[in-house]
Amino acid sequence: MKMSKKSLAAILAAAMMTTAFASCGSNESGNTSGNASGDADAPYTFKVISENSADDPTSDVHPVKLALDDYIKDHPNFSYEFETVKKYDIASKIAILISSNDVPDMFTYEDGTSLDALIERDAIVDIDEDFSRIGVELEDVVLPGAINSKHVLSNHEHIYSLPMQLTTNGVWYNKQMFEEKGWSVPTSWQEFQQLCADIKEAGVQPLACNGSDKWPITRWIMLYADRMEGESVHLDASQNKNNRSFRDDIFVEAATEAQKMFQNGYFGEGFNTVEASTQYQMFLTGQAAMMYSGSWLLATWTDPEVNTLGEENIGYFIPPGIEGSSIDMEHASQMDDLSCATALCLGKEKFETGKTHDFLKYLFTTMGDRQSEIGIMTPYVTTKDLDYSPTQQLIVDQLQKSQYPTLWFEAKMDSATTDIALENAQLLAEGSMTPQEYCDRLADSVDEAFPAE
Amino acid sequence: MEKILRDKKAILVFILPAIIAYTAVVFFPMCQSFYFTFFEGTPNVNFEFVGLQNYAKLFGDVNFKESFLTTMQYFFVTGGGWIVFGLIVALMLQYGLNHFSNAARTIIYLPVVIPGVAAAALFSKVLEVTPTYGLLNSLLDVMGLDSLIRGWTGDSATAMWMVCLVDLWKGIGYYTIIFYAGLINVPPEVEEAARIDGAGKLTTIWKIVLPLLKPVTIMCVVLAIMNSLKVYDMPLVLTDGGPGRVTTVLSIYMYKIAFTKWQYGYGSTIAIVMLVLTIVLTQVVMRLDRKENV
Repeated sequence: MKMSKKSLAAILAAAMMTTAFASCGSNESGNTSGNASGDADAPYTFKVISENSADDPTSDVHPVKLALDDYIKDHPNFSYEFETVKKYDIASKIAILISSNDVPDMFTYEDGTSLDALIERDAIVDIDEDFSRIGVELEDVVLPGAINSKHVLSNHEHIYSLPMQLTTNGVWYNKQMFEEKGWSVPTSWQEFQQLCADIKEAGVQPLACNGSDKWPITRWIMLYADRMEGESVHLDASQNKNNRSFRDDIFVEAATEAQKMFQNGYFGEGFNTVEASTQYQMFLTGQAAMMYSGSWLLATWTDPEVNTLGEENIGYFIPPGIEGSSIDMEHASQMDDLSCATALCLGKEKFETGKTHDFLKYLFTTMGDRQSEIGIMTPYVTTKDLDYSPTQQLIVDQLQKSQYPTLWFEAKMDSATTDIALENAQLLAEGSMTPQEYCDRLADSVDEAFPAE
Repeated sequence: MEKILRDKKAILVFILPAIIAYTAVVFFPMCQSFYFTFFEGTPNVNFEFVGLQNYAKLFGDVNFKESFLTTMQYFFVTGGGWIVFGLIVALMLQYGLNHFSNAARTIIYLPVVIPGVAAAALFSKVLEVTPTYGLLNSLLDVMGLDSLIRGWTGDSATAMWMVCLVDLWKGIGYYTIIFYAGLINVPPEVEEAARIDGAGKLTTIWKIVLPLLKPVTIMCVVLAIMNSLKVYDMPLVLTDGGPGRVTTVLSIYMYKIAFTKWQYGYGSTIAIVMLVLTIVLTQVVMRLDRKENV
C-alpha cells in the first residue's frame, strides 16, 4: 500500500510535466472582440504582432504605429496594441492564436513556404482576392515590382501577404577604413578572398556575421553556387527541378568554399553566438571591416545617433563573380538577392468584420510616404518627391542595375529542409560537419518532400 | 476537531476543491495530451485520426533520437551532479564549516532564487567571446591560455557541457538545503555513540549518517530526475538548442514540433514519452530502494 501511494505520487508529479503543453491545445472559443460589423464608432482595438518593437524607428512596423497614432486622433474609439515576439517564435505564437481563433489584425511573418501553413488554415487574407474591399486597389498603393516579387515567392496563384520593404542584400563596408588601409572593392570572388585575407592580416576582423541567426551562413553557399552556375540553381535544387540536386558537385564545392571562409577566421571567433545587434555594433565601431546584410539597415545608417561611423563612410557592393565560372562578371554584378522577404499578413477573421477597412485604407495609401520619410526602401506608391541620402542612393543604384533577381537560400525549401539547412549550417561553419554530409542531408530531405519524377 | 477529522465525508469536503482543481488543470490536460497522440495536424483545424502512427514515427525520427540522447546526457551530468555535489556541500556545511555557516548557506542557495532565464542571460555574458571576451575568456587570456579561448556556447564540442554546468551551478543550492535539513535531523546521540565506539569522522558519515539520510536522498533523486528531464529554459536561452541541434533536449524538440511545425499530435507523443520516461526512472529508483529495504 505504501508503495502504491509512492507510485501514484510519482505519476501525478510526472504528469505535471505535460500540463503546460496540453493546456495549450484546443480551445473551442470563437468570440472576437469589438461590436457588430458596420458600427464605425464602436470601440475597436487593432492588434499587431511583430518581431521588432514598434517604437524602434528601424522596425518594419514603426510606420504602422505612426499611422495608427495619426488615425486615432480623428477616431478616438479606435485604439491599438503592439506585441513584440522573437522572430523564430512568431510562427508558434500565431499557431496558438489560430487554435484559439484569435489571430491578430496584422502580423509580420517569414514569407515563402512558411506562409503555406497559414494559407492552408484560412487564417490570412487573400490579398489578390480581398484587398480591394478596404476601398483601394492593390495596384494603386503597391509598386508593380513588389507585387511581382510577391508572386515569385508565393507557391500559390494568389498572394497572401503585403510587402514590408524592398530589400537587397550585399556587403556593407567601412569606406574610411578601406581608404586608410589602401584596400579596394573587389571585382572578383578571388579578389574578395584575398581582401579578406589582407584585412585579417592587418588585425581587423574582415566580416561581422550574426551566425546565431544561421541564415547569414547559408547565404555564402548560395552566393558561391549562384555565381558559378546561375541565380536559379539553388531554387531548382530546393525542389528537385531541372535535374538539379544539392548532391551536385557545385553545392559541395560551394559549401566547401563557405566553410573555408569561416575556418580561415574571416568571420571572427564565436560567430555562432553573434546576434544581429552585435554584428552591427562590430561594424559601426570598426571591429569588423565589412558585413553581409540587407538594405533594411538603411534606416539605421541614416540615423546619426546610431550610425557613429557616419553615413558618408559606409559603402556597399554585392559579392562579385567568380573568375573561370560559366557566369560572366557582368551577369554576376547584376545578380541580386532581391526580395520582400518579410510578409505583412492580415488576420482573416478580424478583417472579415470590416471594422478595420477604413484604417487599412488610410495606412496603405500613406505607407509609401511614411516609409520614405524614415529611410526605408518602400515598395509602396509615394506621392512626394524623394531625396535620397548617400546610402539610400547606393541601394537605389544597385536596384536599378539588378537584372537577375533571385531569392534567399531557403526560400523554396519545404519546412523540414529549411530546418536542416539552417541547423546544420552552424556545424558546417565550425567544421564539425563535412560539406558532403551537409549537402547529402539537404538532398535527402528534398527527395522526401519533392520525389524526383 | 478530532471527530471531524475522523469523518471521511468531512475529509472529502476538505480535499474536494483541491482534487477538482488538480483534475482540471493537471489530469484532464494530461489525458487530452494522450488523446492528441492519436491524431495528426492542429486541433479545430485539420486534426485527423492516425492511430499509433505517431508512436511508430518516433523510431524512425533521427532528431528525436538525438534529443533523447541529449536529454539523457543532461540527466546524468546535471541531475547526477545536483545529487553528488548537493550532498558534498551539505556535508561540508554540517561538518566542515564551524564559522560562517549561515553566510555560506545563503550564498549557496542564492542561485536558486535567480530565475533560470536571468541565470542563462548572465552566463551568456560570462562565456562570451565576441564582440569582447566575457569573464571566462578574459581569465584564460590573462593566464596565457589563448588556445582555450572560444565561444563556449557556440561550439558544438562545449555547448552542452556549458548548459549542464550553468544549470548545475543554479540547482546545487536547492539540493544542498534539502540534504542539510536531513543532516541536522540525524540524532546527535547516534553520531556520539559511533565516536565512542572509535569511528572517525569519515567512517561515521559513511556508516551512520548516509544510511540515515537515505529517505532524503531518495526524495532528492526523484526531484533531480523530474527537474533534469523537463529542462527547457536554460538551453533555450543559453544556446537556443544549438549549435546545430547539439543542445536540443526533448522539451525544446517537443515545443518546436508542436508550436512551430504545427504537429500537435506528434508533439504530444514526445510529451508522453517524457512522462513515461520520468515514471520509469522514478520507479527504478523506488524499486531499488524497496529491494534494499527487504
